[in-house]
Amino acid sequence: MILILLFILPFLSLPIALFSSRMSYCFGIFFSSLNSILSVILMLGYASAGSFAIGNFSIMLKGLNVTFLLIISVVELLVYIFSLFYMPEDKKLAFFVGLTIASINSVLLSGNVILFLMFWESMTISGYLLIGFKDETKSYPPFVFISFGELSTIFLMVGFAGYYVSTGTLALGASLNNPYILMIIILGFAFKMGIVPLQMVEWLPIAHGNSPTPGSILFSAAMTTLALYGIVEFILTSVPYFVLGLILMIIGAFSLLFGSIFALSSENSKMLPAYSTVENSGAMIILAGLLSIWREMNDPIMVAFVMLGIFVYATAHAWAKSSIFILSSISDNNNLPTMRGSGLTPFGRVGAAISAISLMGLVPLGGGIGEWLLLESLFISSVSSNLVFAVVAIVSGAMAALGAGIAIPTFTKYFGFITKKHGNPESGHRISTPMKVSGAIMLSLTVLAPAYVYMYSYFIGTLKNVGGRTIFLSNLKGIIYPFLLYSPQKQGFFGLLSPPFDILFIVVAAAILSLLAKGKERKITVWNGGLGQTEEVNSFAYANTLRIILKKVYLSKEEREGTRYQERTFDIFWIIIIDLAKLYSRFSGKFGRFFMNGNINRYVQYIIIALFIVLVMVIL
Amino acid sequence: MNNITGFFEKDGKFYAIKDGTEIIEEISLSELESLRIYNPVRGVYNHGVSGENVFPFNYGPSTGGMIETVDFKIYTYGERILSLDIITDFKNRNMKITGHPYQEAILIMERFNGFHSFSYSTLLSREIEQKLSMQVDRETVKTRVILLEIERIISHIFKTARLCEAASQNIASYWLLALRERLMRTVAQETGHRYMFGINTVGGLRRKIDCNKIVEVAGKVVSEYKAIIDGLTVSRIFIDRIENTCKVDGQFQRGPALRATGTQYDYRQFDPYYSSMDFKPVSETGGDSLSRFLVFSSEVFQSLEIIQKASKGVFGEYKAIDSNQMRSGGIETPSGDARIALEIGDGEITFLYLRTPSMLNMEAYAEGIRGNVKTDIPFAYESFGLWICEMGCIK
Repeated sequence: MILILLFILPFLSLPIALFSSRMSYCFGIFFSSLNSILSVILMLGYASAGSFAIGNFSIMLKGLNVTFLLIISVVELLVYIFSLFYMPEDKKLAFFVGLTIASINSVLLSGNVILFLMFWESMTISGYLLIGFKDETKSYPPFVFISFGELSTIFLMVGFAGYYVSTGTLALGASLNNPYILMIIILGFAFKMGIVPLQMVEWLPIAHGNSPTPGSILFSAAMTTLALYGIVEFILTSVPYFVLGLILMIIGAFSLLFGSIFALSSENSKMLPAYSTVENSGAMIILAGLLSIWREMNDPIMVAFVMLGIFVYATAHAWAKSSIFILSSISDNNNLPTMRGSGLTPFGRVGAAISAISLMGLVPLGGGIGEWLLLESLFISSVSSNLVFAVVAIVSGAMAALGAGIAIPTFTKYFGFITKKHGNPESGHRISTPMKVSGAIMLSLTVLAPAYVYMYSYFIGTLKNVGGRTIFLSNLKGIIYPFLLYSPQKQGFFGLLSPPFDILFIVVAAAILSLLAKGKERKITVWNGGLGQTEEVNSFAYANTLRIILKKVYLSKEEREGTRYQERTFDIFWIIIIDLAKLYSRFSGKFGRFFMNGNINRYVQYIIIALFIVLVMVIL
Repeated sequence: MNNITGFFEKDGKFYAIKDGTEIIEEISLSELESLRIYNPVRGVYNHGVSGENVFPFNYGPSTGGMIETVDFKIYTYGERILSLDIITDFKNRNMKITGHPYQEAILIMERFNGFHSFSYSTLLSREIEQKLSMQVDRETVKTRVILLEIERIISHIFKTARLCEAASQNIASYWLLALRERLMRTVAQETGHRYMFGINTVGGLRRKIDCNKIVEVAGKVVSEYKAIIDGLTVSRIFIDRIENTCKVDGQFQRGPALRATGTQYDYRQFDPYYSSMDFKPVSETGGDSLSRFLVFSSEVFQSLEIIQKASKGVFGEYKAIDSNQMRSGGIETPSGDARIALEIGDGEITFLYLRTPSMLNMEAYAEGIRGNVKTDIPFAYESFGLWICEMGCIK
């Protein structure tokens, strides 16, 4: 009953949106809060929702999707809160947001591959409508979104067909023992996450399509999380494969590094977090790869630890990214160097700072815990007895650490320049409340870190194919249980982290310092070599050092016309894709003119050849 | 060589000073305005650029990196220097020599650039001697040559020390400063002033100077200098910082900066004081900070050779050239050749024009630094041996 209600409620917001967008948003806030609370209850084992099926219509809320329901519901909650405060009047938008969210929830609840695929496609189409419904939108970003979305659907379709042939069932959760089919399915999901070299799937519709902010949040935070759910669900239920895990680790490491490099050089307030999503997706794909390998190596504790990493990382990323996209709508201008944001209330600013620091991957915030779990898993893997695994883990670990390092200046730049005080700020007040809410949610991931870890670890123990229940909380080093989080190794502990103690230390130290320094504050005017302060370093200049150092990666080009200068950087993969598209377009033009030129003889030849090929295929 | 290297206006007419000749020629304003060095000789170094995300960034006027007051307005979009405006008159420097009697004029001239005071005072004294058709005895010529070269050694050692400091070679830097100090103290002992103030006078020297002690100490200092240079030239850290930094291709710059681009031009080639020396300039071909460093460090050894040769050699008497034409004398200061145009009357200076090497080298620096990054500024700057004091207004 609860399950049917969960499935139907999001769809109910659609007719409401036709009458009142505000009502629809409020209704959205209601059901997304309900979903979040329910998923917590389910994870802690106080209730169970199970599954429901009539014929091929099968929905379920058990196993992995419970956690992902929590993550995605909170993202949806933030989308609704943001929309309510920022653009409460747009009914069309409310409808498309509602439709996308309903599709996302339905994918999550799907119990079989047919339903999964159907709602996956409905999600892609509603995403397309969400980007393209405005008249002023350029035509190609929604087009790119739908074409890569369809690429993902095609892979999934082929993969699911293979799944059915291989396992004999349409229901999710069957043990797939064909690694190629599994790889096709995983690639179908990974395309949606914007992995390198297809990162434009992520950034293009968001940055160039003038996608409304709720759309950006849903694409970047919810859809990638959903794709992660798909990957983890299939890895967890299928027979584990070592090589597949290695491939995922390599793909993930490259996505992570390139995502973070391109994020730093980005000067678009929406493109930067979109690239950061590519980076975070990379990290999560590495964890998925580790999951596959540790399952194959039959180490239930490490499997549980990696699962915990996936959950915490996905949670921190999705929530913080939602928050950062809310922050991006501080100004209608998307160009960071010329943005005149600010105007945030102090608490709104704190909320934004918490999310930005979390995305930098700094402890004790949620993102930092996720980053620690990722790096710890890789470090533990690097001392594995399997040499190939150890080497890949070390290389991926180095790339992950480098990417995480680059994320720090990226978000320092983002937060610093977006909230920089200006004389004439725009619209900051409209996002202050959503920022406060998202900041509080992010902070909960730090302050209540043991609770989250407990809940996730407890729940991981109940998952099929994972193994024993290990709750990675301890009371070592004199730290009271459960404030210490540890990483396991065969011999015992590998590493330790205590987010609540870290935050306590920071707060106490800051309080003591501010008390000691009270009244001793001395203000001096800025010394600018004896001149009045005139120049303002912009965000472009801030990141230019890396553009110069990584000239070959960015393909940065200095253009000069008389005394006017400008420097351009390019996404090399995007250039390749454009070139390929042009080549394909030329080829299909020639092909069309040669074979489909209205000449009846050609058509007859064409039909005969096609018939022959079909016959050969049927006989084979 | 007929490259125009300076110009001035007198009585509504414009005159051009050329390389390789002392003859001054009249020139039209339009011809002058099309000159590459038109702005730098007027003290204008504006190269402002604009563009997407480009902003001007001030370095100076009062900053730890520079020993003189100068404001660099760097046009950049972060790290890379797109262009550079140089504002040299942030601190106003005015010197009036016209209207002063000769001796007073020499005293003022000595204070124009203290580090190169002997070069400038010799230039002015010699020019007045020319105008007065005076004969200078061989001992004066010998001492002047020795002291000019000693000043060059001191200046080049200082330049090397500054370059080392900019490239974070602090031990080398302080060692070099100590060497310079040792030589300067000897100079002070023997001449009465560490910057050789008050030595030159019209027609000779104000006191008899025994150069033997100076030559002896210079020999020791230079041999120690050689050890430091040998160490620096094998230091990757040092060489990496100056190699390919601030490459200049132009031919208008002066002194070691010009000779580092492969041009063998040194005013000492034409200087009658050096006529018995068989002088050959040192040159390099890179045009970058490393080449400039190699040129001026080699010049230290060359100067020592000149000094040693001069102290043993016999000089002829130096006699003025009779000429009715307007002429411009010159001297190779440690930073490059300075050119002077002078008129006298009633025992005082009535007209003076001075084109200093820094006026042109500053423009070369602004040209070469384009495309470099901000951290290159100090290495590049110190390799030119630029003096802001030489860019003040002197009349």
